[in-house]
Amino acid sequence: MQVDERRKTPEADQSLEDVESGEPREALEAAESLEDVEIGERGDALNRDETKVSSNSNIVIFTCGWYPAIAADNAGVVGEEYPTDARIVTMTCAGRLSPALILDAFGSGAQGVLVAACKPELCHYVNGSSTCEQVVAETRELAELLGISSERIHLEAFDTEEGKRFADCVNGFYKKIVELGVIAVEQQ
Amino acid sequence: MSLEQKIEETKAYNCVECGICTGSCPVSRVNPDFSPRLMVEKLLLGPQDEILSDRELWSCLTCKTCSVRCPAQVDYNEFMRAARVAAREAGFEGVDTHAGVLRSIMELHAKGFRPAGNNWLDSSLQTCTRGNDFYFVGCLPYFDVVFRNIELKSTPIARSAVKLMNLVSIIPVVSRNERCCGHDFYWSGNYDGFEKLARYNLKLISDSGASRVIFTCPEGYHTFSKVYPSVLGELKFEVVHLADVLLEKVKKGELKLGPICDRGEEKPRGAGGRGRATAGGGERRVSGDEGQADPEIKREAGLSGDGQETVSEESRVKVTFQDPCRMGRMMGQTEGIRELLGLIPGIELVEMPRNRANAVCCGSSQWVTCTSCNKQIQLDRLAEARETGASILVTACPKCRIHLTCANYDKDRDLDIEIRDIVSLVLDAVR
Repeated sequence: MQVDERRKTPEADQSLEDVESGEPREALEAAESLEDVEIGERGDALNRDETKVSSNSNIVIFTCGWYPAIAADNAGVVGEEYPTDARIVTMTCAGRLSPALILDAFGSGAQGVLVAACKPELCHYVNGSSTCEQVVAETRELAELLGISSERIHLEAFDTEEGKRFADCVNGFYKKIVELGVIAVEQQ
Repeated sequence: MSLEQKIEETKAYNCVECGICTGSCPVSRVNPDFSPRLMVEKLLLGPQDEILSDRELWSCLTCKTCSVRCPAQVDYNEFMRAARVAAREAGFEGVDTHAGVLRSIMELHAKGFRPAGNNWLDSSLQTCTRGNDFYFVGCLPYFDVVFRNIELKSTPIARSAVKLMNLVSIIPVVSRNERCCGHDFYWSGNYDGFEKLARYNLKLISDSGASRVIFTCPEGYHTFSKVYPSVLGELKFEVVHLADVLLEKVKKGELKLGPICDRGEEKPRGAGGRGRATAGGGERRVSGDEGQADPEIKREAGLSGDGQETVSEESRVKVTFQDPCRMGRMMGQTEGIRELLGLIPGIELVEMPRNRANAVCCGSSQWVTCTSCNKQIQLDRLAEARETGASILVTACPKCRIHLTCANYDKDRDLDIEIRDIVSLVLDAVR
């Protein structure tokens, strides 16, 4: 109702037009600092769209919700950067992981999976982190059988203040994935 | 094809509600909410959505006992499968077992990931990349990893198979790029996935130049033999289970068998040591085997089971046989493996009360739905096997072996029966 009334005045028309077709300045500035970000019509970075696989080197980071998630946040606090196509999936505990979840990530287009867990002796659920170690080991074997190099699955333990180490780990892993290339998948 | 058309095709309307299917169904025996005709009735009498969202739709083992016995010849198996396809399209699914890992593996196969599955081969096994015979291994390498918790290795079956083939001068093609045969997808309603897998495998086999494909898994055997042609046209190659190949070779004298000696391998925790006493426990091959006895006489003696000079009455091994649903009931092949067992000297085959076409399914199917009902079916079957007095339960299907071993493993009491695959057993008997 308010919108209709505003439409009656020419000033209102102009402001609506700006919002629809124009590109907010902030996003433009952000774009210039990150090379591989595309800007869509509405001014938001395209690869924040969860359903789109925008590059050939995207990785999924399964993060425990306790210390590693804080570490990931800490990475931002200390000003570290890592590529935007590293998607973080937070779980309550890394022990939630099962081989199917990791393999499904590859099935959905991920080129690498990084698992960020707590140190086993600090796991809030006692044995979640050590279960996670077994799961990752089993998944590595299955991945090899499926033609996915086991180097594409990496497990690392983090503590709260390790923001820089988190970012370094992601960057290092990302570089390795780019080197390994795209997983060979036959299209029918 | 809509469910309406499927009802026509499977003659579901012909149901006379006699209840024979319910009485035959292994699941109905332990699960009061399920029976084959209940599924049909739900569809015919209720709103169509009701059956599609029904959880019990996924309880069916697709073992075909009901269809085989139905006096009105309703094809329940096919009806169940079609209902599952429709359910999947409507967004309903069964619960994947093992947290979905096997479903995930099969999906990656269908999506086009190129497997590298042949690291179970060792230098003593001769294989090739192009040849007349193709050995379809199936999912065995993956089972090794997934079923580590029940201490069960499946790749020894593959190794034994290749070794046996080499012994009868067959050098099979073993491809690292094999994908799942699609059996599980087919029967759990994922038709698109199944079709993708089928096409990949057919191309793989035609690229190898093989004119015959040998299986150690009846599910793969049945899928290639009966399902692939109905979907993708006539096969350009022959399909056979390894046991039939071996039977032919033994009868021709190209493969000589002696009494099996107990090696005690591949024995899961559940199988006790006490049963060993009857199984020629550690008995060396007694005199007369190597080159002394005429192979013809030795074989014939083996057939009749007595008069075998090398195996005394007490040291004869009693075995019983679990007919695979896919081979026994669904393909009518029950005698080949029995004949092969009869040719191993010192083996005495004792039948379970429910055998051949009446054999009971091993209790789980398609890696979907495994509940306490399934466990009870498995335990009942193991008890039945033990009651025959046999010390070895012979399986011809890796799935039967896994499911029965899993049931055996979980229970505290030793069911005192060893579960072995026919291929490993024959390799033990080879001289």
